[in-house]
Amino acid sequence: MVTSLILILVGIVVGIMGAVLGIGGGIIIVPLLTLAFKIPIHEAIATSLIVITANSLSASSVHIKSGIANLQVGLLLSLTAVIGAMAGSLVSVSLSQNTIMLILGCVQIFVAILTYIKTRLTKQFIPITKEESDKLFFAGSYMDNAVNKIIDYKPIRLPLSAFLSIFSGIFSGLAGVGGGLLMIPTMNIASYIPMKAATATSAFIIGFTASAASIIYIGAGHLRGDLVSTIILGITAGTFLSTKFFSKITDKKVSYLLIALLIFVSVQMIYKGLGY
Amino acid sequence: MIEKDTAVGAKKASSLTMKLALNVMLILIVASLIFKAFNLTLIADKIIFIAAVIISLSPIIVTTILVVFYIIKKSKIGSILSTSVLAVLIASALISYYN
Repeated sequence: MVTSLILILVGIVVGIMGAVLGIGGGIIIVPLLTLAFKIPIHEAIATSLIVITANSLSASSVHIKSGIANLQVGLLLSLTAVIGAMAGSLVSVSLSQNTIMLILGCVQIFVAILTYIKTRLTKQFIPITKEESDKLFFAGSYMDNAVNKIIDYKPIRLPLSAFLSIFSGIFSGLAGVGGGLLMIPTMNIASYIPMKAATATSAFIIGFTASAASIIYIGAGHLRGDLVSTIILGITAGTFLSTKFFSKITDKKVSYLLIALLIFVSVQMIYKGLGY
Repeated sequence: MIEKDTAVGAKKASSLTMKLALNVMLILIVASLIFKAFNLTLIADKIIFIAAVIISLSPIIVTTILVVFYIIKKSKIGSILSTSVLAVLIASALISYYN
């Protein structure tokens, strides 16, 4: 009972972070389940991937309807990311617990650095006219309520973003993370997609990568239904709470909190992975 | 304007499918928790397994709808792109099945 309540609380925290930062939450769920609850790492990864897919469905259904997420770019990047996720998960199911902990610890440090860079980035994009936006397949258009203006933009260097998405997919399959924190800077830096659109599109893509990887983990018999149900309930509550009460929290504040958390957890993961 | 119209339709179709999958999943999770409260753990576990499979397969369902949509709207890039994503997702499901 106490474990279930703690897992629901974890879900609430992940739901709030997911809604504010556009991440799936795997980077928090996997270390927490393995370090605090002593759940075998493959079961923790399977749980995390299913939770990420559910979180992504919830967020992207809203982002796609509102037009912030770029569905066409999302499909293109999903294609390469899913191939990476498949490869990553096929390798991961045969790796030892310590090796995966080491990989996850290193990924967390890398993600902490990327998150720090993301908070320092200027929101760059290539503006286009509405007529151009209507004709181009990959162009995006959304209403930015912060500046009360419609933003029409044209992504560039999409093949480069598609190539980099393969690595995001590999990390996803290997470590049970969605890869959102890798995907957002990739889209913004490589393809000049506005940060808001990149965050929303990332929420869509991580659902695809996590789903492709989770199918392989379910097939290998690593599903823990009790964990999945409690965390998803927490996430649903967290997403609801964030829209009601935490809308004034800036993504910068949450990013710094996440960086501190990532560094703290990654040190422990690497320490355990080395066998201490 | 053709690409714009297609994009708006595709967004509506995928958003609706996602919401439907999400609601089905939440209903199944609540049902499994109710069964668990009455100590019917075996049924609860089976229901949660079905919910997990539905969640995992939902991107395949969303992409299938997009494929059909883009083909109907005669969007060449959209059809090729969505069909490729669908093929990769089905390949991952098949790999999982045969492993």
